[in-house]
Amino acid sequence: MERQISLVKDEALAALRGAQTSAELEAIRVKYLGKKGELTLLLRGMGKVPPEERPRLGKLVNEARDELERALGEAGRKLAALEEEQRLERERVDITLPGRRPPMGHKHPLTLVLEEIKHVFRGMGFDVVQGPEVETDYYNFEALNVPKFHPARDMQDTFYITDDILLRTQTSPVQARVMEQRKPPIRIIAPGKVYRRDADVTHSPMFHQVEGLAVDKHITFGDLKGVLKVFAEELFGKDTGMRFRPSYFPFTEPSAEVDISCVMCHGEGCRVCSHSGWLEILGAGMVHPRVLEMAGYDPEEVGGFAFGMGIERIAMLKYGVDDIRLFFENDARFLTQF
Amino acid sequence: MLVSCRWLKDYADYTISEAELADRLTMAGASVETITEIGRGLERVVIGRVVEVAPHPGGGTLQVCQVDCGGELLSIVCGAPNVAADERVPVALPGAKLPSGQVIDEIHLQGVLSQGMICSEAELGLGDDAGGIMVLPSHLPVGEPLTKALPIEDVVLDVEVYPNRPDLLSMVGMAREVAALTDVPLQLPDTKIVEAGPPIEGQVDIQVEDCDLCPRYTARFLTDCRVGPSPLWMQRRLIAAGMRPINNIVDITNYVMLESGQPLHAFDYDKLIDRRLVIRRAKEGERITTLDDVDRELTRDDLVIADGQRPVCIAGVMGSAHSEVDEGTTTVLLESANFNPVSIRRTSQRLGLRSEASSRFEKGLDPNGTLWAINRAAQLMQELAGAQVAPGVVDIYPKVRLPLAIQLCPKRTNDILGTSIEPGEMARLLEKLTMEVQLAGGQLHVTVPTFRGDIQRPIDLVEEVARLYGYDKIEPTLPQGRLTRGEDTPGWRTLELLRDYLVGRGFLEALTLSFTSPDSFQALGLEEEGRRALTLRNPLTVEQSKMRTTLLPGLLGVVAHNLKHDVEDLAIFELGSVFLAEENPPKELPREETCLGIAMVGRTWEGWGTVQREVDFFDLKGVVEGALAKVDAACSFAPSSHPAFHPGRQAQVQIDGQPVGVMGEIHPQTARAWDIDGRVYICEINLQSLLDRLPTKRYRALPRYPMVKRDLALLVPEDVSAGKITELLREVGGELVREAALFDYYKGPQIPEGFKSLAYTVTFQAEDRTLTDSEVGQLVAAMERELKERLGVTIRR
Repeated sequence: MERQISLVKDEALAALRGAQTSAELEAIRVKYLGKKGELTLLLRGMGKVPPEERPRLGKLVNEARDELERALGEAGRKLAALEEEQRLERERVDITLPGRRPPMGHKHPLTLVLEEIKHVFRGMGFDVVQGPEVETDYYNFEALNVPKFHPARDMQDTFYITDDILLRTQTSPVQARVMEQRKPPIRIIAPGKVYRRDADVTHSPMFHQVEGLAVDKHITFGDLKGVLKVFAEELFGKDTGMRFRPSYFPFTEPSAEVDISCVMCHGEGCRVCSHSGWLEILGAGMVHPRVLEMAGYDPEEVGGFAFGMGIERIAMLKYGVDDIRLFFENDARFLTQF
Repeated sequence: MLVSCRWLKDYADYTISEAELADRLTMAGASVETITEIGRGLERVVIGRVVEVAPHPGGGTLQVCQVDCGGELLSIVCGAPNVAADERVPVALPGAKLPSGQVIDEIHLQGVLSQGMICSEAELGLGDDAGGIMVLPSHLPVGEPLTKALPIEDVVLDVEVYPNRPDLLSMVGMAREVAALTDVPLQLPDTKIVEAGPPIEGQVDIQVEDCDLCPRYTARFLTDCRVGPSPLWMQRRLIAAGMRPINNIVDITNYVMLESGQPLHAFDYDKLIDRRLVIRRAKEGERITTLDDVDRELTRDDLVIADGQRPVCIAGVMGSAHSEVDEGTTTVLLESANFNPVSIRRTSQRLGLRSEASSRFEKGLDPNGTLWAINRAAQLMQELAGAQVAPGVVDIYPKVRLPLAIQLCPKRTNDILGTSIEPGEMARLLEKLTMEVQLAGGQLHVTVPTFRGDIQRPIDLVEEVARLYGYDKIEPTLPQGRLTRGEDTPGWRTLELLRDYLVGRGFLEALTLSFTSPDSFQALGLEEEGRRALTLRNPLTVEQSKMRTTLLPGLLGVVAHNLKHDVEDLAIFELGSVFLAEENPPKELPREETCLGIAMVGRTWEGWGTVQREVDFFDLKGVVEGALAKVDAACSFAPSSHPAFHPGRQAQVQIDGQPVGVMGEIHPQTARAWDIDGRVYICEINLQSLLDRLPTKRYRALPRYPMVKRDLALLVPEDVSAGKITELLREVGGELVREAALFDYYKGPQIPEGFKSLAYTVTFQAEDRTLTDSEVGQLVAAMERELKERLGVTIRR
């Protein structure tokens, strides 16, 4: 009996060592540990063993069974690991096949630029406000110190609907509207569409501007320079140079044309900047006292600055787009680049 | 304004380079756009004398010239019609490099050696005349380089002059600015005249009837004029300034206008009827044929200069053809006047007629400038046309304009600029601009010369101080004062959520023009809406002559453009305003309402290995539902009958039960109007009702008890809509139905005629307990029973 136990055990362990698959392992388990398995039968045969031998032999069989079960478990784990390894190997993919990219949408490049501009100015406490695109002659011109038959009206070719209703040529009328409604301190930007009778590679009859206005007790020309410097550095990088040139707008005085150092050549001179090293990006100035008066403010008490910039112009510089019409053609091959 | 630097130096002899000058002008507000060098590189162009001209042996228009260039005779082939023996001509010798980049070499032209080129004005970059070779004055020394013999080397600056500075539209004005910027003295030419003969009084009777429109009228009388070409130096300067030389009298009026900024007009005295001039408003319907040979009708608003019978000049704009100076003119009546800028501008705009004179007058000129200019012109006519200048000037100037005295507060100036410029320094800067400044009681008392009409109040002087001080020297600072909110527009959050949702779903954002064509309304079947849509009075094109009332035309345009460029699968959206007027033309401003437009064409695309299919109504509907859910807008759909859409594939979109838009497949007829032949799915939603409310998110407790799912396969009569089924399922199941989701829709061979197969997964869940099988079973049985009884639906097993 004792010998038989050890024989069965050795035989089973040897069979285990030769097993290659989990099916073989299962067969071994059934053969030795199953209901009619050899070790099971030995254990059942304990009844026939003399009582004094039973504890010793019983222990032997149990030990053999435990050992076999342990070995089976271990072999099972090893085999499972091996088989999983083999499965994973079979499942290897060609990683150079293209990924399935979910369709990707794109914001319009002008939206992207406008979002950046809004971000910069909101950070400096400027509210975003809006005004109508179809405007009255009063707000678009007269409230901005441009009476009828003023030569400055030539600076912008206007679309008219009636004698008094027109498509705004600039976002500046929002200045006048805001000043009528609010009291200083005022800090606003007003983005939106504007219209001028002009169409070529750099002019679209509809384009976008952002107007800025700050009115308060102690606003200086230096503040205008400071605020616009923050804007230019945020949009075009910290090392962007900026220069203010005297200019003329009927609704600001002193007025300035603002240039940044060329984004292409960094001031060296290239085709984009007509070899000047500078790019004109916006017009600005101190709000004209006449405009303040028309809004009911006392120019001795409060003053302010205003500026206006073309979003297309900035987007063209930022992204290197050379034809303004691309923004409104909405060619998918263009839009997907941003 | 084109500024010849050679000419400029006569009045302000600056010592810096032209590049540096351009930079200083730019930084002082007279922006130099371009710098053009004239005559540079013409060292190998010499003066030649044509000795002999013979026809080219090869025939044609070519001729072979023998030209004396100071050495041996050169043989030069020339095609110009005006080449003739004994002419002095510019000859480009081999090696010369012309402004076009052409390098001259000895070549054979049709078998004859040509040892150089006889040049035209255009070829030398000296003017526009390319019609023939340039013929030079006969006194010029043969063999000398052209640039040495003639004053042609020049640098021309193209300066942008803003409308508030008409004083800069003149060489003297520009020189005044340059003198101030470069610290050199201003030297004006003198205007010495020798008067002789009978005085002007008695020769002509001049009356100004409307002094408001003509504040000053100055005239001189000149006899014995010899009309001919003006001297080369004057021609060169006129050309450099962009004007065409005509004859000495006309050229002198133009020259003095360019020099002084004061437009002048020369009448042929003998062509004036009754020897009188009346400055008056035109009679309604009065006609004049202007110098450009156009017959024009005038109104009461126009100011004219008339003789005894008819208008001879539209004041400040253009003279008449019949009173113009020509070769036969001997007696000239010279006018130097000042006109009301608004009147000039109105007339010139109404007539669509702009001239060098009108563009100056309309900006407002200094009435005190007329006398200097007329004397200068008379002097030049005496000198260059042999004219005899009659003694005296007619000068009608009832209200003399005096220099303005303005008080400038230095502290206030520094407060505005953010600077700390000393009052004395401010005075010095203003004095450079020929202003008189006295510092008294801490204030600057400034007397502004009348040619600076743009300076009216202290702020105008602040700008002058800043300009000359240098904008670049003002330190950038950030504003002080109370904080402000930095908030966005009320609707921005809604728009941003919609945009983010759609971009996240793969849509491209489009931005189309707000204009549309009258035809587009017709193509959309919206004729009535089209009549109310705002019409532009002066559109660029008919296609852009209406303001849009809907985004549909723009979206269709984008689809059409992309299909044309082989982009076949497209999903786009636009957020933009439409313009809704009560009437056209409008009495008040239209409503501007923000709309969302979505368009889809082509196929869905998930990637390789997946099934691609055509997009349909339900793809669009899902996006609309999703987008509106994103902004917490409760949307629903109702049948609709928009003429631009497929009659069986469109729906009205509602938010909170109110109609806000339409969605569906575009009617093939509409699509064809945009040259589209596939199916296009478009939605347009008016967002106005969503803009002034913030989307609100509320948390709902997570379910604590398990859910149970049951599938229902239904055979539904064709005319029962899916909406009815879900409605019924929810009604029967009550609160226990979490979701009733369609997962299959089928029509085909296995389904009997007049039926469709719909399959739903119904999800049951209770908030307070675990649902039992029998509970759910009873609900499903009830659903099946009701479906059968009320809608004639059969259950498929």
